Amino acid sequence: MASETVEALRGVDLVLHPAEVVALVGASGSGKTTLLNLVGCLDRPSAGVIRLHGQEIQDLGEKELTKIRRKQIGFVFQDASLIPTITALENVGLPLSFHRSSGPGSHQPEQMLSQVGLADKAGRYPSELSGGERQRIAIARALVHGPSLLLADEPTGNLDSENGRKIFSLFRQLVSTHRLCTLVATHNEELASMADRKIHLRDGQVVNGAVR
Amino acid sequence: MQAIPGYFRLATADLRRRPLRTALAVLGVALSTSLLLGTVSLHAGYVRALDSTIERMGYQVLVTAKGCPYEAASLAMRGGNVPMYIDEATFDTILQDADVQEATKLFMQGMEAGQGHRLMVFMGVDDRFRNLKPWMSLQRGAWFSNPTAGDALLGYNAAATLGMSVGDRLPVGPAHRPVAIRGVFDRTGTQDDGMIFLPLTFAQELFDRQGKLTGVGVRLRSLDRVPSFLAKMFELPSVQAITMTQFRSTVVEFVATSRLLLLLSALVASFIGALGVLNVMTMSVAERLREFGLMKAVGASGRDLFSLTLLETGCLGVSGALIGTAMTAFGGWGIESLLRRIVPFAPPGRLIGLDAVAVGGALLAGLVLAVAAGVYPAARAARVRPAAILRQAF
Repeated sequence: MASETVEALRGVDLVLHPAEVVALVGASGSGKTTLLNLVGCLDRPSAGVIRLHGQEIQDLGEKELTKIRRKQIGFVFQDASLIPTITALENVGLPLSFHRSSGPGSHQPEQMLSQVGLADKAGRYPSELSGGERQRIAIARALVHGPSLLLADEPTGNLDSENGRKIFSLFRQLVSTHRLCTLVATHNEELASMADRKIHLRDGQVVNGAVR
Repeated sequence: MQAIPGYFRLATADLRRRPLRTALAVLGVALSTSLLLGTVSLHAGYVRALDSTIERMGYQVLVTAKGCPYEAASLAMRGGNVPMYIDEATFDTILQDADVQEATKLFMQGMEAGQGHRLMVFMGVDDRFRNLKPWMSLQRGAWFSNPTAGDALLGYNAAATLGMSVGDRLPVGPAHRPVAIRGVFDRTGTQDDGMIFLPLTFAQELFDRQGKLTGVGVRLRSLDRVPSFLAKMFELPSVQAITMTQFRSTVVEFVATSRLLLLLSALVASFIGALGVLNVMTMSVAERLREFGLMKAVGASGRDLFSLTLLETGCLGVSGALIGTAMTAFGGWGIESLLRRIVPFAPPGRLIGLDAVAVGGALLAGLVLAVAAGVYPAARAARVRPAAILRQAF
């Protein structure tokens, strides 16, 4: 069977700045998640350059990419992706389980839980929390190790519009507090308009929006 | 509350998620460990129990009618119907031998007795019996009034089994002749505890075998006289002699063979236990690929996930091995009863003797077994590609 090569992204040129929220807007299959995976060191590009604080990362080995993810990157996924067998507090502290030593910018899980307003839910398991609460836990988890880059893939995709707005506001507030470069993939135009910049992707190409 | 979950917490939290599946995997390891430990510990315990029983026989050589000497020795030790007899006059010949220090006449028959019609072993003995077994003391009552009296002395367990004590009357023999219970022995920890002792002449008459014996127990002046005594017995017509040492080595050799068979069964059980762990962990990892992908996204390396999964299988292994060890320690009777059916003679008491080395070895074996079975699932967890996995919904 002949294999077909699909170009998921083409000619994307993007710079992210501290304390800035960039919304990545596009239909399903437009390449938003692929771009997040590349920037987040979860995948490698077949061509092109990705720089993180000046360091080129596209040719790094798995070990180095793991170190970068461990120290510099925070992820928020659409469905929160919490581990169901541990408590809310433990889910927040999960990234620190894999740290060989606590990094200079890392926070106490309890402190992060307070920042997302769920200090009283520390002992609850994910199944005992609402969708909005689970997403707040996921945001706290993404920030606990003090990353410089926050990547969110449809963070409000599973929430109703009111909860979605609340989560996005919280998101903005925390990004500002922690001065993070933030890239948010969403197909919700209303939420995207709350970002500092908006970039439209179609068929793997930037079709609209300021990239710099 | 611990804010940062350690590896142990993450591993055990997942095991608690599917309690039935975890319990079955632990049970598999426990059973195989138990069988392995029981088999390994069998030899030492068996030999110890056998030596103790032989020592408490009170004699080093058993003279019986010609036939299979090992069967005769086995019957003499555990009790039962001995179908062949020697003339009582042979006893005088044996007793007069210069090598012999002491000897006792033995007349053994098995027959139902008591209200429950239990099969009991009757042993006809005379006063010399006490010379060979001076440790057999009476807990209650007194020795036979005379060799022909219709008296009986009960072993400790026989009294408990029959529910009888001094002064009660027990119908015995083919004609159900009532005999008076004259005494009850203290516990000796040997087969004697289960026997009903009768005066020799009375027992011979009761079973219509006047002037006959089923054997003669002989204690020699010293062990170096064994060869010369056996040679003299060889010259006597219709009798044979076997030393308890010969009997011991034959039985121990047979037990070693049986143990090898049990060991093979234990190894097969261990293999099945390992397959159980492999199956459980493979399913568990397949169900949690997305969780592993998430862990990689938040900073876990492949090595972290490999260690985490291996720790999980290690927990299964150690738990199974601990439970298996407890099962052997407190329920080794299962293996023992199996062995008692296989070997021609099994001494009373525990046949399985646990020691620290065997227990340590079993725990290590359980751990190695589970960890070996966990290598493939752990490698699979370590190879997870988060980018591909995280596209799927939880």
